[in-house]
Amino acid sequence: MQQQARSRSQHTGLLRRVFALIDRRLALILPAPAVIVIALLMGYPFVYTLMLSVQRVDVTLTRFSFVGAANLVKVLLEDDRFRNAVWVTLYFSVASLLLELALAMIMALVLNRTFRGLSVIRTLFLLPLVATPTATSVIWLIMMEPSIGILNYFLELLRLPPSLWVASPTTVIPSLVWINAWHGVPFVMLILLAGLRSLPREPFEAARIDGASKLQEFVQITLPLLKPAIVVAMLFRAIDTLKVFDVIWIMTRGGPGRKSETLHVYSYLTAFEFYELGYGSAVILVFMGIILVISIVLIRLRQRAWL
Amino acid sequence: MTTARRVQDALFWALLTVLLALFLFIFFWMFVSSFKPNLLITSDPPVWFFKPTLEHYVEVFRQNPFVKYLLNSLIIAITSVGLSLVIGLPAAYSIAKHKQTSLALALLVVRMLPGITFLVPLFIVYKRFGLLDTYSGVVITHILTVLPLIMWVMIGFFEDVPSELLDAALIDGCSQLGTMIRIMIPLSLPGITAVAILSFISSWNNFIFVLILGGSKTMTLPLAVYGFLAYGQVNWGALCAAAAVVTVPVLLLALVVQRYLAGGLTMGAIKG
Amino acid sequence: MRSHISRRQVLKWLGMGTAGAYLAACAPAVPAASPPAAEEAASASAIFDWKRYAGTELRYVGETQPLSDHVLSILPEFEEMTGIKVNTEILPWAQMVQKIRVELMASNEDMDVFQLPAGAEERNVWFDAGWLNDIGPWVDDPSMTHEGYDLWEDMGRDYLMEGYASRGSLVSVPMQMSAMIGYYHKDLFEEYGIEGPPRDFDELEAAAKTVQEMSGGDIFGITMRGKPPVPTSVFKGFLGGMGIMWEDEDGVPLMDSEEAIAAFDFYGRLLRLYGPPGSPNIDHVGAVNIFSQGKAGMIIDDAVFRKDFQEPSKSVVAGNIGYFLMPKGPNGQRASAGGWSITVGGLSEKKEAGWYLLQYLSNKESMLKYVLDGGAAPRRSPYESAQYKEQATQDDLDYVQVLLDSRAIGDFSPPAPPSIINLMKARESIAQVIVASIEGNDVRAAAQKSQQELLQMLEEQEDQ
Repeated sequence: MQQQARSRSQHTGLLRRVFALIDRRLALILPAPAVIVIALLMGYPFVYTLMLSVQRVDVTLTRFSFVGAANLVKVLLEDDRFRNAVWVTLYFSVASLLLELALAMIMALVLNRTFRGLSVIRTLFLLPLVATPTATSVIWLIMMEPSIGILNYFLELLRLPPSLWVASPTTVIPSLVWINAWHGVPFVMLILLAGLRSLPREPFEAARIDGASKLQEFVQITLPLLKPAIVVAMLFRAIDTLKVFDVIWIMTRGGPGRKSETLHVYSYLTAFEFYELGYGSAVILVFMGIILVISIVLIRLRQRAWL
Repeated sequence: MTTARRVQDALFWALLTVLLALFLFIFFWMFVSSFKPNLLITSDPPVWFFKPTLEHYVEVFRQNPFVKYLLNSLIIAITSVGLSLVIGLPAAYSIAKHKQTSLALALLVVRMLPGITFLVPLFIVYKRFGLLDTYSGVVITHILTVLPLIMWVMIGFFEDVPSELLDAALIDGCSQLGTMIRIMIPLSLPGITAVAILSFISSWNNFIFVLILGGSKTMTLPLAVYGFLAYGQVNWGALCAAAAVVTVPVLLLALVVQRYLAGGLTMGAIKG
Repeated sequence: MRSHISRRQVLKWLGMGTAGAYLAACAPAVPAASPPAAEEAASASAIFDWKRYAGTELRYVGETQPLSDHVLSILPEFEEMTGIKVNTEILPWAQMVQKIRVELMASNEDMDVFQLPAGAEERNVWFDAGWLNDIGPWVDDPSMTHEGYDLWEDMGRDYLMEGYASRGSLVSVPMQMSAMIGYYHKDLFEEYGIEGPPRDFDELEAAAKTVQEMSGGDIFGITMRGKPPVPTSVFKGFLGGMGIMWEDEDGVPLMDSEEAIAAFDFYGRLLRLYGPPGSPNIDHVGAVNIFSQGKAGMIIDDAVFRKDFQEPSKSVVAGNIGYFLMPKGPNGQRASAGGWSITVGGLSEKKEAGWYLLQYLSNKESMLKYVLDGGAAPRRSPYESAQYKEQATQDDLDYVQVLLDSRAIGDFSPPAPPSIINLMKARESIAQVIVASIEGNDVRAAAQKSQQELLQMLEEQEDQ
């Protein structure tokens, strides 16, 4: 009996000590699994991509030859298509962000009042955010069909000329920008709305006493106070916009005439359509590099805006 | 009520209606078309009144094992979110508690990288370990997208819990682990719910990983819809029905848990 | 209407086995060593056993198109007869190509049976990498192939070795006698007083123009693929009409030659002036959709789509379609020919069971069913069967006639210069010229750019 009790107390003592140890080292132990998972799942592929990028690989992935920095040099200096992809990505992203900001601001201002049904309407606006992009792209594609699509019917009702939407080199990016914005505006709107709701009252009261117009009030008080929220929203949307793939792939595959071939689409094409895995890896590496630079800039901006 | 006020009100509702139409018309059109006989879908001008038909849904479910794809999507999303919560919550707690900002920054960078950047190597590893077209294989890649999201949002949430509360618990003799499990997690339950739903949706919507690493056994709904845009497939009605089958679950989920959802979405961004 | 041969004529002609392109192509160049029938039957039945691989699980990867509908429809019988379980993955074309290639690259052992997406030169690379099998020995081994399979004679040894072999070994079995053919909306042509389907490029353009103008633009003259990379397989026939193909004898691409520029120009002009707006974003799916909605007077595309066009639930023009041969150009007449084939993966761990599936899918009974359902099998026997003779309509006969004619002037090269291994990349590059032409941009400049890209691909190939 006694022995049993002693062994049990020893046992619990050991357990307790283990727990104590865990507790003391908690700062290391708690994040460990996550860090390991992420490092394994990201680190290994990264190194492998690095290795592939200095080789030329044939279409069957059986013959490798070392080419050194030739791939990287070609991507950076000689590849017209890569340069085109950079411009397309830039155009697509900047236009998306601007449109999203403008639309979201209007929506947030509209919704920034209390009325019956506010929560229902706010929820309805969230639906584009959660809708499966693959499915909605398919629907957009049908609606934007140039000859029998419903969007051109609406244009006709408004006495506007029909558009070719994603089928024309001039309207393809604007159309894709709209679809991307359609997915993203609700998120920006939510953040701006939260920002608007938490604005202090005093500056506005002071302005009203000074007799400022609504517009002046918006430009001179609301906007500066909202700046942190705007920066944050744009940061996250910039991330998501650089990552957009499903929508463009399903709707245009980068066409017509490479006019919507973003860096993401070009990376995919070189790696998984043309199977130039070595060169494709070099393209992917540069793409990664661009994303990293942009994220660092954005994070800096954010820290400044927030402080 | 003054006339100025009334005009303002009218303007407000008009603007709201326009915005709602702009953002929700596609859903309306998708549902209507999915019940429309095929020959009417492309008619010009569009027909709004017709005898609804279920033929497209029948076709979608008869021609393809859509029930199986639906289950696949569910299994993969639930498992990857569950596992990510188990790994991600303690890590987020630690980052919030110990101000491990470098980890947080690394996380943000990881969130920025698109899936394509890991696909080639992952495929080769998967091949070696026989993970292609298996649930575990797909779940692992979905963890890759879901885990950073969960951690990012939850760091913000945990930072929000007043530290006095934690200190009090610690003084009362709670271990750090105990504090996390007994105080932090219950207090952050709304946040956890929100982030779980968000991650579920993001896993449900994922396309590129299953496209390359999945197969017939792990085919998910988004891929099945993409498959509907196929050679010789001239059936817009079925396409709309298939798209509806994929989107309805997430839309319903969003409507049911809307309060948490809005919270979770803004939380991750504003805080942290 | 042109050369409206009677049903009896076609049947007689098919049955006779002496005249006609189809039969010419089918005639074995090397007489197959055929043992006396009785002896063969005895030895085969003694050894060949459908149940030999019972319990095996196979994977079949194919494309979402009418051919796969056929495959899926006969699989249950196969599974029951052999005890082999078949898991199918039917994907859209681009996705299927990608899936197959990625898995082969990763040396996946369960790429068992699949639709072969590789062009001639690439097929050689695949064969060298061990991704494809030499099917020939199986065909000749009575213990591996069921009695009455009769591949060499029924399909034609030359035909098989020309289009479906690699380094002298048969690597896949064709399933569809395919070619890019023209389809036209009969009623519409009659209504607008167009005399029969177009026979040459001028008539093609004139017909397209008439439809476009007389319908006031409500119905497009013609619809064809415009979205890279797929248009090159249709475009091939236009190149042929100008008197050239992808490259010269030395394997140098000819994309900036005057002939090629004329072909790009013509193809683009047709779609720009008489095609649906937004053609650069329309692939075969889109074009097929437009034609089956009755929104276009003509389409030039794969013969395989006839099944869809004639299916009333999918098409408003069902029962109202005529077929025509790829029209003659100023300097020749070539039909882009080829056809889907199915292969057994060289890396597969279950090759033999895979061959069981492939032979079942391509045997006489399967092909007869396919033909009766409106497909066009590359075998002779289905057309000779009593069942077909009884069932075949004038429409069936017209269709087969156009396919036979296509085969006579068929060009079996891949949809891009055969010397270039990276078929997809070459197709994409050439298709960009087509896009430029449809959009009315400088065709010559675009053609020169593509030529440069193709030359560079060749150069990099050399370096390898």
